[in-house]
Amino acid sequence: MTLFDRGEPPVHSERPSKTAPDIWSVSRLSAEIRRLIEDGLPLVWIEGEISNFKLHSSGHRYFTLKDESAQIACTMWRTRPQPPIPIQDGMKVRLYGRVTIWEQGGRYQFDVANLLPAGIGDLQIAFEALKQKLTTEGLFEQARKKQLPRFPGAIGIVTSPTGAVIHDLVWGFATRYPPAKLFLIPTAVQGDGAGAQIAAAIQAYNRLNLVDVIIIARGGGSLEDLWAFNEEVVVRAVAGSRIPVVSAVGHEVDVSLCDFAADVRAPTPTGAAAMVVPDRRDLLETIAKRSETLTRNLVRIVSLWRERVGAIRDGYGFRRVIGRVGEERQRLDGLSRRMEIAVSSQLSNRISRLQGLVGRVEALSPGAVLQRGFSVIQKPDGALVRTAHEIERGERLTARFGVGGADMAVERKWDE
Amino acid sequence: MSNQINSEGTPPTFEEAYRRLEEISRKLEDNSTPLETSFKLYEEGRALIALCQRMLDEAERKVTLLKIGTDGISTEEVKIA
Repeated sequence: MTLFDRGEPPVHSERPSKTAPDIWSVSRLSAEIRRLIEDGLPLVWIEGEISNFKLHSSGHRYFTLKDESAQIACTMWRTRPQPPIPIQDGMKVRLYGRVTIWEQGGRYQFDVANLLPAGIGDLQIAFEALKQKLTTEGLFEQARKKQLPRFPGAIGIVTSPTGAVIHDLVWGFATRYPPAKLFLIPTAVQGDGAGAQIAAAIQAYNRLNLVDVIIIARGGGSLEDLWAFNEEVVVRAVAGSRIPVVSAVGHEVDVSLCDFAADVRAPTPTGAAAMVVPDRRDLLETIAKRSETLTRNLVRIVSLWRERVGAIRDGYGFRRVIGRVGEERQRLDGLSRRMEIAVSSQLSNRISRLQGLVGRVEALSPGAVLQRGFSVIQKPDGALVRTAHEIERGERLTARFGVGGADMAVERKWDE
Repeated sequence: MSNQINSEGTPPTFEEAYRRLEEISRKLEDNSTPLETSFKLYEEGRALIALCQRMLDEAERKVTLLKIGTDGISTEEVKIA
């Protein structure tokens, strides 16, 4: 016997018996395996990393769960509860379910009843990784932020059509600023597909071009609940929006990447209205003040023109244009009548104020001043004398009094 | 009602009315504005004030639902209690 004789095939100890052939069909064996495994293994939680994820058009999900040294095929039927976050390759998850045999395929697989992320830590890592990536791309830069319009004519809302959030938003906007028209593109706000719907809604508003600002809103929740607002497709849609976007996602403590990309972050959905539209009560107050100022300014302008016309009427250097003064006065009277018609219905008290002002203006007119005992001294050419420097000894001057005047000559003068 | 707000003849938005009112207020502050113009501005201002106040009257709490399908967009008005 040499070493090479060992190549001989080993003799099988149990050959099929010729007397009682016990030959199983493949089906029978498979059914037996199925029974053993399905009865012998309880419903369990398993943990691992997802790979080869496929969402079939039927709605069923197929993937492989693996760890360092093993893997198992997994199926998650459409009828199972929605995963709280979109499934992706590389994601660490915990699955609840049982092993089943797929007899036609000759394979065993894990029938997933429930899927959860393998811990907040992993979501946080995903969040930080995407945040890092998009920050590097410059998506969150302050320079990209757009200013919100002061008086938005139309507001585009993206949120769930049911629940408290849409109710609070509509109520808040309508009571605070009635002129704004409100639009809603309804979307899911959590679960598979929510992110894609939200992104599509933002893009639709940009395409339709009928709103001045977009509000993305959702009530508070866990990081998993709010995950749609951390999806890359949403963050990119927000950052890419030509129309300013307000992120009103979760409570004040909840931070999403959508918040970073938005032009403005509202602390809560209810708080969004206060950041986006002015308050009608403030506006009404401003308008009331403006109304008063308007009237006051009209009264002031009329007084001003009376004063101007009065100066022309009473001016000594303008006697030759007395005819024009008359015209101006007629014009003023005409305008005064128009003013009285325009103002009288609502402003009779303003008229009396105007008359008071006119009285004061007239008290200051040259004629009235002379009546009070002052005189005006003029040179022969009509120039008014204001200082002794302007006259010479012996120069002939004219004095004007309240009534009448006198010609005179300078006898003596002193400069101070 | 003043219709001098925009040339297209469409009713002005709140913003247009409000900004025009601000402009009129500024012009009426200016002593060089002719008297005739001042009266016209004043009348326009009063009309704008009435318009703005009316626009700020409490609105119906409603939202227009936009349903975006492959064949276009349908709208539906929904009232909120």
